[in-house]
Parts: sequence; structure tokens; C-alpha cells
Amino acid sequence: MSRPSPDPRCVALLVLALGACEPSVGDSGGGPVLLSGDGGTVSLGGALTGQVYTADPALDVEIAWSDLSVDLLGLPVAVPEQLELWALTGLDPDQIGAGVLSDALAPTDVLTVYSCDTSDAGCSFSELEVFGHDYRVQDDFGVLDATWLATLSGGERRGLQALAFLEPGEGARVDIDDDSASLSLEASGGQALAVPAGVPFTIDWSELDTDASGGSLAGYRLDLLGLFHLPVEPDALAATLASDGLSGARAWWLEVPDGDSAAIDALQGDEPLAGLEPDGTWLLGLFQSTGISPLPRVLVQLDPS
Amino acid sequence: MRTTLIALLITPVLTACEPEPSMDTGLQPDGGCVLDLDHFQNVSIEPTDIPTVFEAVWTTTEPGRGGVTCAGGGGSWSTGWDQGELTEHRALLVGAPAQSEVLIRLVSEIDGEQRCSDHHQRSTPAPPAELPVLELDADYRDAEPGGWALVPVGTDGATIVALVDAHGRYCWWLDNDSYYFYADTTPAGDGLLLLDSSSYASGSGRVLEIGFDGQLRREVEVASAHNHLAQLPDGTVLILGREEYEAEIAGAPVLLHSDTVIALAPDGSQEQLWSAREDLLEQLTPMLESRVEQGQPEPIDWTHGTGLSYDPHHEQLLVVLTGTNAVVGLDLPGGELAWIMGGMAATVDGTHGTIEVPHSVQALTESVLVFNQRAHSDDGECGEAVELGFDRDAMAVTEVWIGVEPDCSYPDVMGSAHRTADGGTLVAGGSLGRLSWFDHSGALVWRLHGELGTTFGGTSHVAAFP
Repeated sequence: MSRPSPDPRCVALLVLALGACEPSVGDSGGGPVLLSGDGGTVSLGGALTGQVYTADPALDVEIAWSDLSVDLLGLPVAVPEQLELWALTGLDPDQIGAGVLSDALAPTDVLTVYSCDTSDAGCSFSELEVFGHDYRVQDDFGVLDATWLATLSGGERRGLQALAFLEPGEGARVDIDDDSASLSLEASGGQALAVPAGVPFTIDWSELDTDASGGSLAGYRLDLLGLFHLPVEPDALAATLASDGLSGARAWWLEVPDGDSAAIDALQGDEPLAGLEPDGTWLLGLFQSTGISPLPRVLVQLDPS
Repeated sequence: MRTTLIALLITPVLTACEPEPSMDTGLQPDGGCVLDLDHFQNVSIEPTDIPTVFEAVWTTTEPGRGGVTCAGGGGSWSTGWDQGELTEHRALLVGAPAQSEVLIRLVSEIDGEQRCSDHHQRSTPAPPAELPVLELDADYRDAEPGGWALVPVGTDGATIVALVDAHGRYCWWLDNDSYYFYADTTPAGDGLLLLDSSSYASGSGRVLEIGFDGQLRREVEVASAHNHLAQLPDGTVLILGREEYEAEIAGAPVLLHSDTVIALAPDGSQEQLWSAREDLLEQLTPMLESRVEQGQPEPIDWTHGTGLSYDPHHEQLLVVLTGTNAVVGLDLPGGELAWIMGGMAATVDGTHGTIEVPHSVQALTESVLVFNQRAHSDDGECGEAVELGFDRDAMAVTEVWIGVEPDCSYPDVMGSAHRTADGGTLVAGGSLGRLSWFDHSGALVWRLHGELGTTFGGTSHVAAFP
């Protein structure tokens, strides 16, 4: 597994064979482009690590993220609206990072979760609550035999954007910034999917039944689309991702609370998207926004032609 | 022309949402009936505000008792019969699982013969994305409980009250961005009574009565409401409340929180029925002194009430006070303290060690069912549902039944147990994100688990709908 250290965050996408294959032909002859799990999607794996900060259990510790500028994928942060503080049992930070990345953490790994919804760039221990009630972090932090994980999510996109670990010690303030977490991603396989260039089209994932790791998607909803354009040719994609992650990408997003298809021109970004021009490299990510992993459940390279 | 055909069996094996005959009516979900298309007129079957619930309205050419059978998602269920011989009928069809096709058939009983309509097909949407996906645990599917679990499902910052079937499918949900710790069915079984705790931080709550069609029938603001409620036969709703005050502990003033019981009468009037402060503070002051010495920050929530249960057999109210490790019994209607199980001030023998961090109680005929969270207890850390036989003459309990998760886990948040009418015990595993079913022997025979972050609040059970 490659572990490069890109700037600003350690995001490395090592794409094996991505873009090297002849594109498969999407069913785009006027109809929607169908995604399928039959070898067309990119397999994802990697490692997620977080820094450990100390905080004094006796103090009303402030957890702040005003210096956070990019998310775990290397994209501009989308103003997190929720801080969650997880007390996890039986797992060390490395295991938790792996569990977060693969969405493999189970409720039984969790002793309790404190949360704070805010439009500010920080929450104090006293603002954290459990289902609206005044459970206090101080009653558990330093008391429970737990590993404490702070996650930031919400905003324009609901997924995880940043994380850090806390342990009892000294300190009245924890600053989560671009260096608090490091994501090293390995991507392999996949086949570029031919899509019509320069015109709107519809992506349909109703027949997609497995995720990027081969896991079943039955019962889960892929409810967030992310489309990323990197200004590099497909042949250079792996190297670009390895060095910069998605930090140089233009991105468009769309929440899809219902259904399993979306018109590509409905995605929202800094600039309108009428169609995909056949330059650079296009990646489509389908996210499960209710999951904790920052990664898309499905990633597909698109080949406009 | 009257058409007489033997109706096809919709589903030969009853497996999913409520496989049992409805109530005591004899209306069978897939029973044989004579197809009589002309008999059923002016049929309207429309979704309600709850998209898995349909309202059926129809007339019949002759008076009779009307009812509805439904099949969908691999199972079948039915409503009860009309209470009289009618020509105008209305039924609420509750119990369809989300994201399924439902076949609905109207039925009339006239002179002991059942006539039925053709099938009407309806579809139900997917549940809200906020509801976590629930999966059957492959190791524990030896039995399939009937009916539905009624349980608040904690998700990302809210709780959604839901009905969950034996397959882990959502059949009903109330998604209104509020906090509910428990829901109870109305006495008529046609809706829910809830305590909305979303304004808890500002010192009030709302008692809501909501029909299964999603219609809000009643809303009463209750000052200082905490998190739980119970209903009395006369329509009074008893609510677990909270009071804040200062008391002298270890020679210094300390800010305290403790629980009360508030009685909400049918006419809307409210009064405080009981106060832990008045009945327990003095004798439990040593416990508080210990907490102050340990540096517990103020305000100290020293009772941390988590549950209520009305005992119709002894006309008492049972109150769970997690913070004092106790369940207390109050005589009704006055609210006098009758007994204390567990904790430093126990008045019932045999409760030391049998009640440890309790989080729910259910009054049974001659026993009580308690969910012990046992988190951080000295006696081990296995959450458990335990039934304690209660000899009221001897004021002593003995353990008569226990259900423990095989992996000896415990939830740090919530957890509850509910004995169902058929003798099974439904356990909501709080922050463990599990919903478990134990049989008469205490064996775990069925279990669902949710995604990361799933927390189940206080559970109860709905066997059938009217």
C-alpha cells in the first residue's frame, strides 16, 4: 500500500489501471447511462489516521475547526454543521480509522455518541448532548474505558469531512485543522464508462448492487452524487491523485433523497454543468450520506466521447 | 350479476408484517371468501400522511361487517371488523412495510358468509434516509416474532418513532425532527401517545396524541417534562418530570436535578403527583455527599429517571430512577411512596445486585420486568432483562427469568425490555443498536442490528391494529 504525503492533506489516490482500459459503452443512446457493478466501478481501500489531542476532563473543553479548509478527500470543506464525539470501545485509533474508512464500525463498538449541531466553527463539551438531553461529556470522558473520536460532518454535503482523536490529559482547546487527519487511499480496477460528451445525460444506478468493495448495496441508499473533474489526461490520473488527491478537482454535488437516477445537469457546483467536455478526467462518486465513511460507496470513471 | 369465485390465497405462508388474524374478529388475512365485485362500491384507498398507511373508504350494497385484508412484502395481515352491520365503511390499513407492493382486498361478512372485492394494488415508498438500515442477525433468527416493535430509533441528531416488523422493515414512522424516548399506543390502539422532549433544554415537553394516519389529535405543553409517560384507564397521562433546586450537601449548597411525576388530566389540568426530592433526598444524601466529594459537576442529576409503568393489578405507578439504582412504587391515585427496589434506600428485600443501572420497568401481574443496563456496575457489565417475582406480603423479590445478550454487552445509553402478550420479551439494546427477542427460557431467538449510530429508545409491542 502506498502512503505518499500530499499537500495540503495526505490524500493519495493510487489508481491502478484506472483510465488504462478501453471505455465500456454506457447505454447512452438517448437513454440513461446505466451503472453496473460488473467490473465497471473502481475498488477502494486505504488507510485513515487521525492525530490524538489531549483535553482536560475537568474543563469545558472547546473543540474548534475554524482553521479547517479542506476535507478528507482534499476538497474545499463544506462548513461542517455537526460535531460528534464518539466513545468507542475495544478499538485503537488505527482500527477506528480503518473502520471509519470502510464503514465497518458497528453500534456495538460505540458506548455513546455526543453531538452538537452548530453554525459556529466550534463546540464546547457543555454544548454536546445525547438526543437533546443533558448528558455530560465530563461524566464519561476520562471515566469510560474508551477511545474518543471527534468527527465533523454536515453542511452542503452530509458526509464526514474531518476527524481527530481525544484523550484525557491537559488542554482546554482542541483545534481540528487540515493536519488533524490523513487519508491514504488505494483505488484499483474499474473501467471507464462511455458517456455522451457536451450534452446533458442521466445517470441511472438502479441496477448497481455492489459497492466499491464488493459489498451488497441492498437496503442502502446512495443519496449523494459527486462529480469530479481533474485537469489531467486519464493516463496521468493515478499520478495526479497520488500527489494531490482531489484537491485540484472541480466538483459538483447533488443530493438524491429519493430514486436512483439523476440528470447530470442537476448537479451543483461553482459553475454550471451542461455536459462533460472530453478533456481531462471525470470521476463520478455515489455516496451514502448516512454512512460515516468519507469515501463514495461507488466510484466510476466517465469517458465523454 | 353476482360472481362467485373462490378467492385465491394471497400468500400461503404468513411470515412478515403481522401474520396473525386481526384482533379477535376471525378476519383472516388470506382467508377464503366469495368474490363479489358488485357488492363493493365507491371504493377509495388513499395513502395518509404516513405513506405506508392507507385509508380505505367504501360502501356496500347490503349492510354487513366490513374489514380489509392486506398482503405485501412477503406477508399478510388484516384490520378488525366493523363493530356493526354497516353499508358505509372506513378502515385504516397500518402495517405495510416500506418499499413494497401491497394487495388490498375489502371484505364483508353477511350472515356468516365472507364476500370480498378484487385486489387493489398500492405501493409504499422507501423510509426516510435518516432511518438506519436494519438487518436480521444471521445467528439469531430461530423465531420470528409476530406484530411490530414500537420503538424510537435514534439516528443522526433526532429520534424517529417507528414500527419495525420481524424482517427489520419499517412499517410506520414519525419523522418530525424531535426527541422521543418512548411511545405508547392509545387505549383504542389506533394511534400513539408520545412525549416530545425536543424542548427539554428549555424546560418543557409536549404530550402528543397522533393517529396512525399521522393526524395530530392532541397536543399539550407540559412544563418540566422529562422523557417518559404512562397512561391510566381514566385518560390521565402520567409524565416523568424534572425539577431543579439547590440543597445543602456536605455543608455547601449544591445545584440538583431530580425527577417528579406530573399528572395530566383529561381536561388538560396538570399537577405534580410525586417528587423524588420530597421522598428520597433526605435518605439518599450520603450518596450525594459521595458524588460531591468525587467532584461531580453541578447540576447533579441524582435520580436520572428513565421509565414509568402503570400497574393496573395493584393500582400503582412504577418509576425507574437510574441515578439511585432503584425502581420505586407509588400508590395511585395519590402518589404516595409504597416501596423501593434497589439502591441505598431499598425497602424490598432481594433487590441488592438484582437492580443495577435500571433503564426500564414493566409491571406484570405478580412481577416486574426490569432492564438493567449494568453499565459501569461493580457486578459485571452484561446488560440484561430480568423478571423479578414480587411477593408483596413479604416485600421481597426473587429472580424468575433473565435474558442476557450472549456477548455480555451493555448499552451506555438507554436500553429497555418489554414482555409481549405471547410471553416473549422484546429488548431494545439502546446504543448497542440492537433489537432482540428472548423466549420463555431466556434464550435469544431473534435479533436485528442497525447501522453505526443506531440507538433504540424504550420499546413496546403492537400485536395487531383495530
